[in-house]
Amino acid sequence: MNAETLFSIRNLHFSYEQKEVLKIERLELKANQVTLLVGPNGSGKTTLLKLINGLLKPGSAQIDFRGEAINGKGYQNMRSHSVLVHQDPFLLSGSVFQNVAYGLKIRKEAAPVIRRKVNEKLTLVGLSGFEHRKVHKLSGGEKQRVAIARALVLEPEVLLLDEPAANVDTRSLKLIEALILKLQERGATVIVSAHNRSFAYRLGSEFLTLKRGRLIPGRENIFKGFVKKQDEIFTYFISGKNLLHCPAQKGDFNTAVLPLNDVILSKREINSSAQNNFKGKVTHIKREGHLYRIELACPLVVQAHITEYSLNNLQVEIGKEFYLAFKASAVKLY
Amino acid sequence: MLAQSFSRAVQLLLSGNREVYFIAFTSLQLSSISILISALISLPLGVLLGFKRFPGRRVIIIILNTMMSLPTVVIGLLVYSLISRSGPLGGMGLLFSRGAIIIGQTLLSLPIIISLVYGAISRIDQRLPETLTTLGAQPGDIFIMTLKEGKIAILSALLAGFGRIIGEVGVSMMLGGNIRWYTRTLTTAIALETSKGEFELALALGLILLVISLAVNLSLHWLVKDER
Repeated sequence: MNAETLFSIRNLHFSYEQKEVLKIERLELKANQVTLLVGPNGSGKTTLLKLINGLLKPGSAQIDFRGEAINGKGYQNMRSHSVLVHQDPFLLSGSVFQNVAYGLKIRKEAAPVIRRKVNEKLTLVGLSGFEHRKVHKLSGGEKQRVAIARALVLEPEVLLLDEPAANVDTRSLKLIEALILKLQERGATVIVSAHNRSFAYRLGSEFLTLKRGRLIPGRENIFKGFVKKQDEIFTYFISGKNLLHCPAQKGDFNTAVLPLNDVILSKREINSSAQNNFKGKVTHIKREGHLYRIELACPLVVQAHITEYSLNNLQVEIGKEFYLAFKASAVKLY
Repeated sequence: MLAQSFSRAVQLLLSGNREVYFIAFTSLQLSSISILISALISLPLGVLLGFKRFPGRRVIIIILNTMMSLPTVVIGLLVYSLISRSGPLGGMGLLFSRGAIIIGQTLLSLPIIISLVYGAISRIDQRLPETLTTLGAQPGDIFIMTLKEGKIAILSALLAGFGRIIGEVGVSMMLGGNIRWYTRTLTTAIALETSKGEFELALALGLILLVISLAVNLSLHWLVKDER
C-alpha cells in the first residue's frame, strides 16, 4: 500500500543549549497507520513529537505537513488536524468534563454538542461516569486517559502520543492499548513513542528506532499476525499466509519478533533443529556497519544480518534464491 | 484620655459624619482605580515573565524587586518632578489632582503586583502553554486560562498591592496635596488631624483604615487557606 505522506522532515539538527539532541536527515511519516517511535529515554522521541506538532521551533530544518512547512503555511492545517498528548500530561484544575471539553469550548461548539462528544470519548477511554470527578483525585492512568479523551474529542486526523504507557497502571495500559488498536482499525494515524517494548511491539505497524538522537535501523523482524493454536510444544503464529513455530506460551499475541542475528541463510535446505524453514528470493542487500542486512521474500518478508564473509561465501545477490531457518525459541511473542 | 477620644471617634463614625465618609470613599476609590490600572499592566507582564524566557528578563525581575522596597516618598518625588509645572508633563496640570494620586499609587503597586503575579505564574505548571497550544488554543485563550489557573495567587497579589497603597501617605500627600473635599484621603487626613491635635477625627479615620486593612488581610488569609 502506498500510503500518503503526512509529515516529511529534512535536515533536522535540533539542539538544546548547544547539545545536539536530534539529527535526522530525512524522514517521512505515513498516514493511516500506527507508527512507533522506540528507543531509550533521552533518545529524542519527545523532541521529535514536539517538533512535528509545532511546539518546538525547527530551526533550519524543513518539516512539512501534507507538503506545507509547519512553521509557515502549513501551521494552521497541522494544528487543526493533529494533537499531541504529553507524557505525564498536564490537566487543568477542575473536573474531568472541563478538561475534555476545553478544546471544543475554545472552538465555540454548542453546549449540547460538547456534552455529547465529551461523553462519547470518555466512554471510549473507559471513564464514563467520571465527568464530575476532580482531576487531582485521579490516578496516573486515569489522568493519561483523560488527556487522551481531551485530544480525541477534537477528532484529529493525527494523534501523537508521548509515552502513553509510562506511569500508568496495568488496567489503563490495556485500555490505552485497545484504544490505539481500535483507532488503527478505523484508519487513523497515530504516532506513539514508547520505551516499553512489549507495548510498542503490540501496537506498531511501523517502527522507528531512535538512539542518541539518530534514527537507526531496527535489529529485529517484526511480524504482525495472530495465534492459530497452542500446544505443549509450540505456539503456531500466522503472519500473512505463513506459519511460524514459536515457543509454547499462553496468551493473545499479535506480534512475533525475531532478531536479525538469529536467522540462518543457506544455499541448500538444511535439516536441523530449527523449526522454521523458508525459501525465498533476495530483494535487498544493505551494508550496516560491518554487517549486511539481507531481505528475502518467502513470501513472508524476513531480514537477516550476515557478515561480509558469509555474503561472499554464499554469493548473495539480489534475485537469488536461498533457504533460511530459525529456531522457534528465537521468536518472541507479544 | 485615649479612651475618651476613642469613644468620641466611634460616636463620630456612628453619627454618619459626611466628611469622614467622603474621605474614606476617596481613599477606597483612588486605590481601587490604581489597582485596576496596575492589574491591567501587571497581569500580561507577569504572565510574560513567568512563561517566556527572553534576554533582559532577569534584569527586569531585579529592578522590580528593588522597586518593591522603594519608599513612597521617593515615588512621590519622582512623579512630582514629572508632573510639576516645570516638569516634562507639567502642561497636563496633573499636580494636586486625583489623577496624580492614581499615577503615584499605580507606580507604587506595580512592582509588588508584577513580582507576585510573576511568582504565581511561575508556580503554574510550565506545561500549560504547550498543552493548550496543541489543543488549538490561541495566545489569548492561553492568557485567560493562565489567569484562571493562578486566580487565587493573582487575587492575593492584587490584594497585597491594595494593602500597600491604601495605607501610604507619601504619594497622596506630595501628589494630591491633601485638598479638602477633593484629594484628601484617610492617611493624609489622619496626618493633618493629628498635627492639629484633633485626635478624635484622626482616630475615627484610623479606625476605618484599620477595618479596611483587616478586611483585605482576612480576604488574603481566606484565599490562601482556600488554595491549600
